[in-house]
Amino acid sequence: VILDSLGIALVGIGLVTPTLDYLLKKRISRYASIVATFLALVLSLSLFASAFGGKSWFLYNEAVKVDAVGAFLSVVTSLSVLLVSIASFKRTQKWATAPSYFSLLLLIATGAFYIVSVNDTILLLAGWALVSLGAYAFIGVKKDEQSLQGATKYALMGIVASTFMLFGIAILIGLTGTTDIAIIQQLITASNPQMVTLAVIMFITAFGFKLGIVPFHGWLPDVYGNVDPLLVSFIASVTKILGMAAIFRILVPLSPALGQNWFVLFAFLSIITMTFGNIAALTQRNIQKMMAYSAIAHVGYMLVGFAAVTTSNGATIGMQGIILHLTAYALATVGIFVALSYLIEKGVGTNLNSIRELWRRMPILSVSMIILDLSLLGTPPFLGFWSKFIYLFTSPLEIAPWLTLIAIINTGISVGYYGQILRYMFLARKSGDGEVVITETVNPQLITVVVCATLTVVLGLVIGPFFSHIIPSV
Amino acid sequence: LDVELDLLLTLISATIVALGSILAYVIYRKPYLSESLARRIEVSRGLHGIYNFLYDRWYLNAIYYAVFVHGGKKLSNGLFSNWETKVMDRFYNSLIVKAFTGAVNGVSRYLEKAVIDRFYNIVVVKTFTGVVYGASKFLEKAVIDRGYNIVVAKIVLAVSHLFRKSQTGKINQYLLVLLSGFLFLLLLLLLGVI
Repeated sequence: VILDSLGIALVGIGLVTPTLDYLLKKRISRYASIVATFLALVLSLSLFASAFGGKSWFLYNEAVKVDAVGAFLSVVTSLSVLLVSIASFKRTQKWATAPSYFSLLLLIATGAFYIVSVNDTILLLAGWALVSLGAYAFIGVKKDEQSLQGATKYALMGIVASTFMLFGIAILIGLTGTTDIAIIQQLITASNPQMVTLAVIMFITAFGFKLGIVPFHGWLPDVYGNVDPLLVSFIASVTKILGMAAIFRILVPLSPALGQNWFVLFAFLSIITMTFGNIAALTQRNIQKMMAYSAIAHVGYMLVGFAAVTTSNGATIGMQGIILHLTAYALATVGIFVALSYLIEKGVGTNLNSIRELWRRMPILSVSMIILDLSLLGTPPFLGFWSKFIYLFTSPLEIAPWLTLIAIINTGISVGYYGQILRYMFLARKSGDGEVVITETVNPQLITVVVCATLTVVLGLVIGPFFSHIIPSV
Repeated sequence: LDVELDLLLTLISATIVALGSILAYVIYRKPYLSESLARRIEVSRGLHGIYNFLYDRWYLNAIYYAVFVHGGKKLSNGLFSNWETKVMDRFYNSLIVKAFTGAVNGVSRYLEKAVIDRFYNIVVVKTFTGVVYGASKFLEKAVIDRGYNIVVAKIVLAVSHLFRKSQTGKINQYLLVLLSGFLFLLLLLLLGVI
């Protein structure tokens, strides 16, 4: 009932609002979006409450598996969509495509809700199509040159990547004769391991494109770095959640068939992804582009958790780390990209030089941004510290401590660019500056950034240390 | 070894010994002088004098005491009171002490200035700081500056620029990289690496 209500609330409102906007000649879609996403958050929380304590059950002819992991990721998705809806409230007011914007927001969220709980490859395909097509349109919704260019790249690469997913699904059906992941998991161990590995490579190519795993990442820096940051705030957070959930739902059940090859594959991808992201971000002078490469680096960190899946202990800690890090990352990404959108709106810009001594002009925004920046860096007591250092990096200790070391070295490299934001915002002097005037005004975008920062601090203190009790077994 | 015995000398010696023995026997055989002899000695002044002189063994003890013991005592007292206190004490307590402390001060000052100050504080410290400075400068220049800051930083920056340059903005190149990545993983699978 909850999941049905969730689907109806989001898809129904999402599909109806643009027409209502057109017929009524009133901009009601933004209100409808906030109401729908708030409703989604409440429904997700109730879903999590019913799945709490290790309970799980199947729905829709075993196409959907409801458990604590899926429900928790639904909560994070709802929260991200709600925060983006609030941030977009005023900013999109003058956009001609605003009704479509909110409609796409809700449709993509619906796809994401099904993917985080998927147990059938056909539903995966349907959800993937909904999210992908929605995301390509969403990136181009502003209709400026950057948006359209980004949307084209995203769509063209997305089509190629989705083809690989189709091949992967075909191989799995060919090997087992079913689309049900729970049954595939039982039958796959008797199959040819090389064919299973081939299917996994196909899926990794598709999911890796969506997540930004190197070398399937090409579109990501261009889209995240150039398109309006408000659009990126949504795509960056929600696609990470659903991409990671897809690996968890579809690929992790296949891991026993791969044996040690699973670790080799994911450790290799994790190392090249985080190293590429961190080193490329080092020389960026534009915060938005810096955050684009940082997004790649964070995918690399999360792959460390997947690499650890080969042992039961590593699997539990790794998955807890991925889920918690998705929460920390979603909050930080929404917060920082919305903050960048606010800076553009205020005419400040997103270059490092333009944020010199920003704390004098925008103290609340600066402090909030730094909290989110430090959370991404992994500084205690913020949420990112727990997810990164307590769960993700400790998960492969049993089988490969060197992978932990590489991840820590990468975090060290990331200080080079996260520190730049802190330095320019608080320490660097602004030349020729006369009287300092506070230019901050109460704005839905500023409220969103503050909420993200507050949640990063509060959740860091409340759920960070106890997360292994919140989702005890994966 | 030839030993000759002089008969005359031997005879004289023996006679003297014999006479002495007899005389001693005569005198000491009787413990005291006979009363008559004692009275005569007492009455006769000359004999009394000789007797006393002999009895007091030529006054040798008296002379010895008077001259050597008391004289020595007086001399030592005199020497102590005058020489020791007035000369030696002053000399020892003041002059020698002063000379010694002066010498010690001088030597220590010399040691401090010439050896400690110049050698330890200047030469050793300068050498040590020089060595440390040189080593740290070498380390800083060769290892940290050239090695870490320049070589590592240059490599990282060059790699960073290279990575950024890989973002050409051209979709066909991105697709080529994506397919290359897939083919690379496929190659690993075919080679049996994974």
